[in-house]
Amino acid sequence: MTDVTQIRSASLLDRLDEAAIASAAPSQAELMTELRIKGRPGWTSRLPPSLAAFVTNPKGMAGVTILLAMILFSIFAPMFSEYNPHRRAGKPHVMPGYEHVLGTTRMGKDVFTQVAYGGRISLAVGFGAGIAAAVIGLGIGIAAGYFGGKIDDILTFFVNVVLVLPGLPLIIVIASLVDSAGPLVIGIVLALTGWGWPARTIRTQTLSLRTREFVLSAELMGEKKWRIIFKEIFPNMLSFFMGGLVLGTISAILAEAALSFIGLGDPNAVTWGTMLYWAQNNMALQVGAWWEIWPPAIAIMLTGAALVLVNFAVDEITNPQLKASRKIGRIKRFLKRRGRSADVF
Amino acid sequence: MIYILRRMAFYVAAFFVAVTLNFFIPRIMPGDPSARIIASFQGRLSDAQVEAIRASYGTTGSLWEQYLGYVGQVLRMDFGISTVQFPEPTSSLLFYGATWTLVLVGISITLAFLIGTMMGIHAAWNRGGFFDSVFTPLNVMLNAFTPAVVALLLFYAFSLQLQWFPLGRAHAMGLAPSFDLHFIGNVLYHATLPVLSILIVSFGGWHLGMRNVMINLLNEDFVILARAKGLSDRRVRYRYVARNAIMPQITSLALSVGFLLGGALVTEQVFNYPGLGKFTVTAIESRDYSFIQAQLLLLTMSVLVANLLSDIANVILDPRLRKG
Amino acid sequence: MKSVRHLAMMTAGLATLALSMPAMAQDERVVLTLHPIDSDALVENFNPNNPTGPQQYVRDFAYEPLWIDNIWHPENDFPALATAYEIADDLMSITYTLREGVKWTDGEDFNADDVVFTFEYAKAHQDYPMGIDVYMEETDTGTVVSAEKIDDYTVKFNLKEPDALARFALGGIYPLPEHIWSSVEDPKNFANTDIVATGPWTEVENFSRSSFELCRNETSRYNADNAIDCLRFPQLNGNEQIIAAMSAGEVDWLGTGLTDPEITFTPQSEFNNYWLPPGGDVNLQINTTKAPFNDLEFRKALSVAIDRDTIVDISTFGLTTHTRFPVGTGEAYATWLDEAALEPYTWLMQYDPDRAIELLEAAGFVDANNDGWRDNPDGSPIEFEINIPNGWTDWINTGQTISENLQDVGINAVVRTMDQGAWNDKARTGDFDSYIMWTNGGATPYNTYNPMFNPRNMEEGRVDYQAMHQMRLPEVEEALQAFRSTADRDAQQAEMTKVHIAVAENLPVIGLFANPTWYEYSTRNFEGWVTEENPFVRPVLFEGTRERVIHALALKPISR
Repeated sequence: MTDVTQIRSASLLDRLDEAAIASAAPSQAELMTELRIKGRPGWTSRLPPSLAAFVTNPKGMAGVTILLAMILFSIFAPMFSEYNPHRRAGKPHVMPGYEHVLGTTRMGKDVFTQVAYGGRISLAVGFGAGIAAAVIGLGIGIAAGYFGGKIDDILTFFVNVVLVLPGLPLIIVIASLVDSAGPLVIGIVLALTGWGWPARTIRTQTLSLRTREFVLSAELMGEKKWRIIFKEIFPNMLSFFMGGLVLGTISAILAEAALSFIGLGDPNAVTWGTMLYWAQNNMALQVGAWWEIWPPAIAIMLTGAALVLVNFAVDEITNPQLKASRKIGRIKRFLKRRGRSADVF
Repeated sequence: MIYILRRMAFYVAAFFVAVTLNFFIPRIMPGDPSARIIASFQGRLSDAQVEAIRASYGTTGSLWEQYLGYVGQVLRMDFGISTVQFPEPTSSLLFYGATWTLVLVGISITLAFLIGTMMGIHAAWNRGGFFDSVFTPLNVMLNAFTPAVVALLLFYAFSLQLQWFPLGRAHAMGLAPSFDLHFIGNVLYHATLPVLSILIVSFGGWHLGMRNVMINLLNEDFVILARAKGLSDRRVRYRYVARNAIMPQITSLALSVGFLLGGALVTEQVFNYPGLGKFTVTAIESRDYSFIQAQLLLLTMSVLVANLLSDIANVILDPRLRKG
Repeated sequence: MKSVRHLAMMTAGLATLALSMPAMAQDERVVLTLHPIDSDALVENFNPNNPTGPQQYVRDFAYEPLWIDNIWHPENDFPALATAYEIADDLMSITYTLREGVKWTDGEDFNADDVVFTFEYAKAHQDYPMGIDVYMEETDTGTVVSAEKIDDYTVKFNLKEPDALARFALGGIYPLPEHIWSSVEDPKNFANTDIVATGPWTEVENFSRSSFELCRNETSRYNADNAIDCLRFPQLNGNEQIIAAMSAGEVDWLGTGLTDPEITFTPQSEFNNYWLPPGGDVNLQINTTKAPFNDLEFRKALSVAIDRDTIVDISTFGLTTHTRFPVGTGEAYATWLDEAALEPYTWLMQYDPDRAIELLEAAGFVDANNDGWRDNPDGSPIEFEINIPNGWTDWINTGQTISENLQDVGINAVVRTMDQGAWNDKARTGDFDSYIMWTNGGATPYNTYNPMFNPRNMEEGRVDYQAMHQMRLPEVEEALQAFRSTADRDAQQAEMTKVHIAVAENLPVIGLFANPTWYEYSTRNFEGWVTEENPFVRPVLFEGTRERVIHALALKPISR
């Protein structure tokens, strides 16, 4: 069977008999569906290219959807809850039910309210620290890469110091400095220690951009330096900035959870991390109160997973090879079905 | 060579910055080492005794004198005396904790690196295939799970409920450390769950890193040339592509050493594993200056050394860097 | 289960190793495993006065005190290195008759010289607290002036002031062997790796960072009745791990905090048992030198605004017990409570938010600036923090409940936690508005009230944990002075009632609940444990409870 197909398709191509192609080969529409290629570009064609690339990326959109859902949930859900996340709302360890959708904690606080309300703080800490770290990294990375020379040497030294400084232990020490490490403090510390990676990537990218024609021509035309940075370099750094932001946010959310879990956070604050801390301290697993430990755990996992998906999309935009690789599987399968060698890829 | 020398200069500078930071960080925290000792007597001390204890457990001299003394100690590799386990030398506790952290982190990081990198190679080679489209995102998502929850669940399921694995510690109680099979087997048995809890949340990163770099390389001319020459898949995959893709991985590996030494903390806490993280938290709570200093120094040193090694490895793997 | 265990080992790639394991040598010794202190690693230090751990291991078990008070049954004390004591009529001295024929483990005789040496040694090394309150001329502090050798087996301690209570402290002297310690110049740095003592277990065996054993002293006079060959001290840390270790049969005796014991502890093993007799009280301490705490009506309102039922049942997991009277102490000293005299004050311990609001309104604590919170009568806002160290979760729960209760009556109180080092630092200088505080224990309530009301503990910058309220009550000071100046129980009772009434009148501290005495034991390997039915001694495992050695000696292995 395979042989027949191979011979036939080979001969078809040899003869370039259009009529025969039309009758034997699948129609263009069929091919496009099989390869999952959209016929018309649709509304996304009117968006800026990188945004369009993101919007058409299923992983990225899945991530964004989950994230948006989490954010909306934490913004609006507390409004629908009649309970105060800081106060007892019922008996200890009530099973999830009508009164308490996700049950209550050992202290009788409403888990649903706490997850939603804690989401506000955890997400704010995560995104706040992630954005701040990415912004610092962007500024320092571009400055180091574009200006070069002494400035580069000095900035690179600081980047390396920040990269080398052990993260979590340092956070612990700094957190204990301010005797009660509330979410805000943890966020600031994470932002100040987390900018090394984005700065490093962005510096490397800036270095390679600096010698490109469009930057050189802008320089020759006598553009001001800051204008070049903002107009020419910055837009090209956007996706790296996004990448740094996403990774920074993940690590900030995880670090907040870890710090709170160990008990170095402020146990009065309601965050997903402190919820885990209390659940563990009250032996929620041993007592069988799964509803005390799973909701915050799942919330953290979901947020992390969503950010990872977004990061995949960002990776594929910054690195077209990765995007192509997504299609390669389909093309290989397509060729295989037609008996063609897929080795060219 | 100039490249290596320049890097060395950076490391020496970074070392002294770290030494200085390590000295001042614990000292700007409120409280001092004697407070815990005094608190442990629950008011059974006379005033004179309190004063005497503050003088002998606390610190004497101006900050500048203390700093000079400390730098001198560091250069002599003398780390002072722990106040948490007074008067045990800090170095003996540090060495003990570091040994077990190295066992725990060493095994975890090696396994995570190997498993992740192999999976990354596989995924990149068959990019777009089933494995790549399912396991690449999945593994990386595991990376974003909290170590706390993973460790707790493993502990609860396999130690408490099923009792397949011990509750904690690095080896069975009353077993004297030695280098025989029995002891090593016991250590590995005890390390299984802690290692697993770190492994689960860390191999995804290696997977993704390796995959992405390799995909970029697959379309490079040298790879196409190698294939055109008719070299075996295996040879192209490992000798040509993976060998080149591994360099950024090694840099990341070096940078992650510090992260892992800190990150093992949660695992050590849950499994009562006698690693550095646990000692450090206790030391910070009790303001055990000498231990905090020594631990931060050790961390910085290990990260610096790992970086240096990765620089050297990169030079060996990439001849272009040798010109500096 | 065993096959599953092996399967698990195989997954770790150890099948061959596991199978080739030599069978553990059958341990014929009787070993009692107990865990008196958390640590990350054990260190080879057996200095009996080192508070960072060793003291917990070697006091009582290796180093004996002079006298073991049986706090629960004062009529049945246990003489240790002393066989008798006599308090002078003027209460200015106590004479101990020492036990003859006791030998240190290296064969030397124990005698009066060792005891006198121990006193002199404590006096010479102030930075090495040995539990003796030595009188120091320079500072005019302390109670014991000198130790006099009357003959080889009689020692007389001379006191600074008449003190009927001194025997409780002096009985807790742990004599050191003079022939060893006289050459130790810097005792606080001395690791004492070779124990020379007189107690039932003195020989260190199988030391490793994860456990060690303290084994039978072959020359001990207890050997005839002592069924336990070795005490094993494991390294453990964290309640979850510790409790799990008992369920797994790794530990026999614990004093660890429990959470929902009926679910998390008792069902885990048929041998798991616990009993939590009421211990010392826990109070809310407030700085009464500041507004609004300087107002008695405010303190009364505070006391009735607190929902102690919730605190006992929920915040502290139902493991604490109620305190009946607002006197800062409770059931641990039940025999000292004059119930009739204290009856008029019981309302202060009842939850009554309406009454709290009435009291506050009447005293002028109203919301003057309409921000939703009450303000001081002079219009300044009321806002304070209840400070609790990080990680003390049941107290944090308690603090949160208190702040909820106070917020309900319009008082802006929030819980603030801080890391333990910072808390210690602040507590030592009294730098707080309010915190939750334990009370010190001892043989009589004097041990609780003295640190609480001794003006010496309220000096600026050196406020004791117990005296943070900083309220001087002359009537209490006098009554306490009178209490320790008489050996007559009825006279003491009268003075104690004066103290109780003064405290209830003035509310320098707000009583909350009585802490449980944590005590868990496993009947897997041993029987003869202290139980609610047979409370022959206090079952506390920690140093400071000298009876613990009696408890250990009463245990017999279960033959299986």
